[in-house]
Amino acid sequence: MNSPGHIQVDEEVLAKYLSGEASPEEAMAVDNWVKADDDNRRLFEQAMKVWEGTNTGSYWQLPDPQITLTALRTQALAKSSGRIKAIRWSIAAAVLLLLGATGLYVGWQKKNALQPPLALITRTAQDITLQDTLPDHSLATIQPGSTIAYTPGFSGAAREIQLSGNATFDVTSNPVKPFRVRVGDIQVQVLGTVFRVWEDSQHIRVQVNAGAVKMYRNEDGIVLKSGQAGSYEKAHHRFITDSIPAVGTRLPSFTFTNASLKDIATQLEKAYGIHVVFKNKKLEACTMSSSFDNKTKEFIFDVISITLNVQCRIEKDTVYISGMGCNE
Amino acid sequence: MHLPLEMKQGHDKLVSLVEHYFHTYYESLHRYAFTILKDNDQAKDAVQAVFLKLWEKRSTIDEEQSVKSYLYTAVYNYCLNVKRHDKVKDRYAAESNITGDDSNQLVSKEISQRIMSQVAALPPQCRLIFTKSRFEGKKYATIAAEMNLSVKTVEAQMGKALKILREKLLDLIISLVIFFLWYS
Repeated sequence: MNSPGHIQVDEEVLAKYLSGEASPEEAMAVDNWVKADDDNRRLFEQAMKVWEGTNTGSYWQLPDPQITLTALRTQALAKSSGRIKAIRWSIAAAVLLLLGATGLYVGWQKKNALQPPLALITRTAQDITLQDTLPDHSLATIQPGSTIAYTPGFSGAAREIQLSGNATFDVTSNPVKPFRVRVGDIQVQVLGTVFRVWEDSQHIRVQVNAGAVKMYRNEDGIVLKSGQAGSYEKAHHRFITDSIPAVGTRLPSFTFTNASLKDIATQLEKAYGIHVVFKNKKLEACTMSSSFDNKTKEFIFDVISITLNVQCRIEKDTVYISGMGCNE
Repeated sequence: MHLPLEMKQGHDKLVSLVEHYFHTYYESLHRYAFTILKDNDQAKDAVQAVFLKLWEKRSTIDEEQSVKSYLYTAVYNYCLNVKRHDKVKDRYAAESNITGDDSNQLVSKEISQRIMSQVAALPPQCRLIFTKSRFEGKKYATIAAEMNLSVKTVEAQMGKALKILREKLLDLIISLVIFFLWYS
């Protein structure tokens, strides 16, 4: 890969880049160089560590791209239509759902025996991205040419969405009323947080970055947890869990500023698909400040244990927090 | 009668093209903005503002290489503008006083302490330039003027400092990360 203007990337250019002195051309050269080779990337990460180790302020942390993109779409929409919708965000429970082709929706309508209720609400994005607040305050961002449909007030035992096309769902948590997206002849049920769905002519694939989802058809299906990917073979109606966990999966980022342990636990529950149990309710009020980027839940609970002088015991998907009190 | 449909499809294509660029360059552009602004939120705002502009003028975007150059240059100019208004410095200072040092405290204090001792062991001129840049937050041009050196020399000395520190600290960083993962 050629660098723009044939800039030779060495430690001098890297130092310049990290010092905020790089021109756009040098920044491009650095990024090309980092992407070109794993050794380059490792060298770059070490240089970043040196810079972080000698810093006196904040660290570089990438804000969630999906949140930024959603904000961007909202801004673009507000600019083009001249109105701004008030939207409630539930950031931690952001569920990313991207679906590829639209052809299967038609197929689903023909095959599925379920009768749509009489008063079905349908939202179709025409020329621009459409934001729609669902009855449970979840947020749907519908891409142009795509349609979602659901019952008013989400009547029924589950929150069911029919989707054709591309949409991003920012889902509020409600364990007793599952959130399901129907696509093709299968359903995707939200059990946790961040996951991605896409389809090609032969498969529907789901990759889970955080939390858990269940993909199923009738009685048949699989549960995918954080770091796992699964696929559905359309021809054979077969579900397969990929044996090797997806590589390069980023764990979520958090920044807690004087946050209560209760709030922190709520966010971690959503992000990692776990359940946090306080054995001593007083501990919920303990506060701490910290940020975590791409860390395992074990790491985060270790840091919490040390910072607040509490015990965190992880058993499968449940974390028990106990102790007398916290360091003030 | 075919025109409206074609226009609609053209429009859809452009929207998805903007989003394609967003996913491709978001991380790189944010990191670049951060190196200049030293502030994650400000860097996010910069990238968001630049993409909003691209979104508005999406009918003129076509060729990937020119869009890439446009994005990097626009982020660069935006960041310099922010710095010029000196908003960042004030905000940065205010934040450092309140919460700045809390982030990742466990790892950063330990590593920082050890890196500081390595910085002290750098060759004298190299150490002085590195100190002015990293700890006093001075620009290369300012350092060059203060020390009566060329900017090119400052660049070379900063590169040298990075090379030495990275090599010395590589083992340390790895051992510390493992230490905190296993023993904390």
